[in-house]
Amino acid sequence: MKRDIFKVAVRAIIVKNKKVLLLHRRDYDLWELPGGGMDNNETIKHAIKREVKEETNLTVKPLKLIGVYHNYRDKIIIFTFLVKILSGRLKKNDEADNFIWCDDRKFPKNVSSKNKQRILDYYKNKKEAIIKTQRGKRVIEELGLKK
Amino acid sequence: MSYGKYKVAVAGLITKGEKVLLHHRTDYDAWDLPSGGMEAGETIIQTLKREVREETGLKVEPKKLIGVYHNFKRDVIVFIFLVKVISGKLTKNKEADDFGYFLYKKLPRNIIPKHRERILNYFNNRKKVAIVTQRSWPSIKTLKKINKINK
Repeated sequence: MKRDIFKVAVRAIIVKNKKVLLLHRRDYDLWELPGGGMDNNETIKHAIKREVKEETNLTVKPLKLIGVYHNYRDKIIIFTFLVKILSGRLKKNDEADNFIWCDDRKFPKNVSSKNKQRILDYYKNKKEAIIKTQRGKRVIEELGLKK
Repeated sequence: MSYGKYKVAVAGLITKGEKVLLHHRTDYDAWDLPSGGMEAGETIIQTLKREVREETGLKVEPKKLIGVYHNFKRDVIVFIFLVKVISGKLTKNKEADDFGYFLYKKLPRNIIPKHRERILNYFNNRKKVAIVTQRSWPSIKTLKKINKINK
């Protein structure tokens, strides 16, 4: 039996007035949910707090697991959490040069289809966590992005 | 962005009212939830169905995700699902030599402690997906300890 090795990542759904926060990356013309990779010496909840702090300057607390996404091609397990803002103000940083609040009716240009799906899953407002296998291309290829 | 490396495993909870299905292991005197690791090329749901099938003989479908357990020492992420039985019969196999439905309040003494925690978390809060970091001993060490106690 061959066991696969996975990376684990977390993404935060931060909501204000029924809109979800996206950040614009400094390295690519790309909007995405705040989040990132989980280290081997931290917990899932710690990873989400740390990543959101780094990328938005907000201090948050995870409220609810919205979805588990298995990125089939890149062997990544992604958790999306609805989080609550405890303190802090949005601040640009090394990774994010802009922020936007969007909803499921209108996305900015350059959001990956995987992230769109995760946001749409949040708006479905299911009681139970969603489990999905995502098989699409990497966002860089999908949107033809260049640094 | 740095990534850790993890293994992924799944476990299935088959319930009958306030009871849960456990199987008795062939290698140790201990009771287990059907569970196992994700193999190359599988989806999470495929692993769940395969593992439950292999260890119980039952064909199941997931009802809902009830817990995500992060085994901190072994870098394993375990997804535990409530499942419903579609068909099949409990059948002994190379991993299981006995089966039983146990009241969650009266779980056997020689159940893997991590599994006990997962079962209790579900029955004590059935509406919420448990997100838990477990830091206890690796299962094999725990099993050896349990077996010593039983002798």
